Amino acid sequence: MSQTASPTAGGSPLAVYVHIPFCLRKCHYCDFFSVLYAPAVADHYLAALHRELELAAADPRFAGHPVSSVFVGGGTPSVLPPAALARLLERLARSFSLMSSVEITLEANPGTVDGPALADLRAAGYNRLSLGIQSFHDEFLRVLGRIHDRRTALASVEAARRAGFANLNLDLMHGLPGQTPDQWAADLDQAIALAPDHVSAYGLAVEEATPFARWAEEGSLPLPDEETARTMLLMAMDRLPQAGYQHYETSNYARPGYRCQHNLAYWENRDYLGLGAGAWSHVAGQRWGNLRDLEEYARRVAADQLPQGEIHHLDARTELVETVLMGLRLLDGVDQEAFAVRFGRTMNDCFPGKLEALSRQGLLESDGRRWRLTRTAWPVANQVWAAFVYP
Amino acid sequence: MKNIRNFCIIAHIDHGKSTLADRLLEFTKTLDPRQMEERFLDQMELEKERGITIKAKAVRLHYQARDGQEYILNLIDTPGHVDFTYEVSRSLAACEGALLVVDAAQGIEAQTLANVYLALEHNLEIIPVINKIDLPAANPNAVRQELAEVIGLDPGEAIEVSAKLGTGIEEVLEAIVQRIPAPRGDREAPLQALIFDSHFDSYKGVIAYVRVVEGALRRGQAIRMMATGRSAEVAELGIFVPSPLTSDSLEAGEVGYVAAGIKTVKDCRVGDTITDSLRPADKPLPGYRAVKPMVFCGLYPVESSEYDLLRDALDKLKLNDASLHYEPESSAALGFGYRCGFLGLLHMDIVRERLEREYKTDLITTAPNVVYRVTTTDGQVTEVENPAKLPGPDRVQLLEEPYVKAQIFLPADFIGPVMELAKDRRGIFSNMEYLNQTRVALTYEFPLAEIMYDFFDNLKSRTKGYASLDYEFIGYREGDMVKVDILVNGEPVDALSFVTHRSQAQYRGRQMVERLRSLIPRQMFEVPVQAAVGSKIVARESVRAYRKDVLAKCYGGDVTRKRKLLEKQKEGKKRMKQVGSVEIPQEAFMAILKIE
Repeated sequence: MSQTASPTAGGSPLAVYVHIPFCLRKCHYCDFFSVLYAPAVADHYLAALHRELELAAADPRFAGHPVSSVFVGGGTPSVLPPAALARLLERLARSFSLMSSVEITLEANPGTVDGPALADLRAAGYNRLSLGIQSFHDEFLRVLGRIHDRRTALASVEAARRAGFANLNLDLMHGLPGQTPDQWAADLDQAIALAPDHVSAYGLAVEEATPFARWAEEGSLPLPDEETARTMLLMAMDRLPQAGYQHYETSNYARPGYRCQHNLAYWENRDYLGLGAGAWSHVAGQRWGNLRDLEEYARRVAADQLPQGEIHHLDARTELVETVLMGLRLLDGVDQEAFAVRFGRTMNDCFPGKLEALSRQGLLESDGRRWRLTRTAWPVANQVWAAFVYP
Repeated sequence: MKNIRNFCIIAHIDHGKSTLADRLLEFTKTLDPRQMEERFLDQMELEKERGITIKAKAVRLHYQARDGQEYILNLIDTPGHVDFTYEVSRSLAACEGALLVVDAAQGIEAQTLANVYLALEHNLEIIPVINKIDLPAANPNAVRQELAEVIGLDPGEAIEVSAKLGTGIEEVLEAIVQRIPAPRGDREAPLQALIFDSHFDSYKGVIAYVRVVEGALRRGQAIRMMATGRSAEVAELGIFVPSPLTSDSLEAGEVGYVAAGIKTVKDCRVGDTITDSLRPADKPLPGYRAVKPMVFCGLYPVESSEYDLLRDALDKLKLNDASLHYEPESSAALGFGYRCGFLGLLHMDIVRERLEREYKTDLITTAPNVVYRVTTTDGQVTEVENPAKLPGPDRVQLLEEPYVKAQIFLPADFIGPVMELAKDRRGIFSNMEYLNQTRVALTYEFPLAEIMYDFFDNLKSRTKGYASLDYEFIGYREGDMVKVDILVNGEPVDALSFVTHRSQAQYRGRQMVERLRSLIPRQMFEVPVQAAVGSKIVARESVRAYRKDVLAKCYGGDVTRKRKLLEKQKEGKKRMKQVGSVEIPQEAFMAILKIE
């Protein structure tokens, strides 16, 4: 990495997300934006991406802001040749001021990375690797439509460590079709045995317009019942902390000092810049998603314009509601003072009676500084979050 | 007078009554086609949507007939639902003839028949009109045959029409002139004018639609309503062409309107007779009935702050609706609201929808019920309009429920299934009469509560739609009735109580709690729902608690979508009433209606 900046230079730190919308195969449950990987298309796309990051870096809203985190996600970024990912990082470092402490995450899927590739990526400056393991059971990996199996998953973890990734996340899923609590327990134990630094444990959500949605509609997706799904969620909440992983967000667990700095920017509702087709940005008062159509995206940046698609204007009320919604995803909850400073009103003024009512129901608690969900509330957190949205 | 014809149109919904009326107006140049508003006769938005006409209107048409003479045709519009039978009968009493409009593709529908029989009862000349002959599926010959078999009309008398295309309209007008008798009456006799409808106008007060039967109405005349005793002075009278056109007098045989500065329709009742105060008729016209509400329900604002808004809205509706009754009541579960009385369920629905739509109030409606007459052990007799207010079983000496005499007209083929239905509904058979070879009139006495909700729907489905129903209140009779209380989370919810025959208490209690289980949204804790008769629990279910409900992922791109998901989740709770610690949706209060 060539350039770094001091943490205080040029305004508030910025989190930068880069979307690589390519996969070797579309997973059956995934509704993230991606297309099938083709080298020529990817080359064309990366050229446009390089142009976009120059445009964004020159935009007064971002210019000079030190970058505290970079997250290259997808899709499957690791389908790109390591050299291309290295070049991407170079371009970022050239256009933006990366802080010395910058966290640079790469999402990778087992089966798309080997030892040498990982070593190259580490050398290029990526310092956090997030592996999409999902399950250590071949039968579930097949159901999910993943390209890897258990063996590949285990190998990728080992390779990541050998390549020098000292900050490693494993993505896991529970509530899978046909999955039993015992099988989930085995996955948790296996993950713990591999000693990653961070674990994301997601309960499966059936998203619209995915094969899973279609199968669920047809009744051919044997999803666990609500009670079983709850049991699995609680197992993660029990076992991972016991093994030294603090539960810090709804679905995220980390060893002390290894919380994902980039994702915290979302949950703390801070500013972030999304680069690449379909990526989302947030700057006070506005959130926008980039154009998803790769051609259109490329044409727009070629015309020296930010490739904005959907733009949402966020009024003060929406900003503060979202700050609470996102903040209450964190186990630490929402800092009352920070909230009051940011919005000029206390949480209690913004949601009269709500905090008290939810506390009375045993769903919310406060240590006087922060409001957070109680342990009872976590499995049914939507019930609490929904209380804060309008109307 | 010999050139006047007073007629109405009887038709099933969608068989083209309004279109035909429009064409008659057009043909007689009563309305310029350019100013024709589609379906002129249906003025209220709600009526348009439901395809029914609630308030009768009268329009005068001038028709130059083939015989060279000019005729005055008064078209009197009528409502068409069993809830409004009385109003229909008054409109019919103002006519000498009726057009019976039948869809050429669908034939006679049962609902129409009740009105046809009503018209025959009033000795009206019936002119069958087969409409929509332009439809590919039209089968006018089959309809002619049906008219002969079912009603006994001469098949040769039917006129084939396409109101849509305007064919056959002149034939209809000629038939009105030739077949419907001119009104009879003596313009010098003491005044007798029948009020067949009325509505409230904020400038002129009540506008009464009248048919002058004897004598004449004049501007400035001192008049008296013979049933209510209310006196007034005629401020304005006139006819509708179709907009109001004032005149100096309305004479025997004529149809028009009168405004006499009357403040509420309650003082100017449908069916009452207007006479001259100074030279009164010795008796009123026959057929007046003081309309009594038969069905009651509670109306509560979802937001208790809207209580005043609801009261104002009811006050305004009442100006125009003599049959609407309401008085304040309070419920432990729902707070402050009104107990309202209606002619029937349709009437109730219309009022509720108008309150919500025109007056923008969000309402919780409790299940409708009949009035019970209770004699308590201390000998006191009270009429109870709210099941929750029924005294406990130990204090009730005698509980009586309203009975009606019901007439069901049906094709003879369906006698079996209909008698079976009547028996299920505690009907007491009183008569069966063959009207002709295929048509039967059954007379039954029913507890009103048994036929109030879904009886008519059931009757229609058992007779392929060919039965008609009319009923009138005949008095109170003892019934072995019990009150079923519903407990949600251990607390009785007064607004969910209902009264039922003892033999059905357990069954209906069980059905009710099952329904409530599916209607009450899951809460953070398990919610027991119980049905109890007195202190005995007769049924129990529970609403499962939420066990897992959490959005696992939310990152930058998801925020708006996830927030909207949560908004949707919350939106679902909007029309719910917080009762104790449980949220109960509006539908729950009507759940009893969904029980077979």
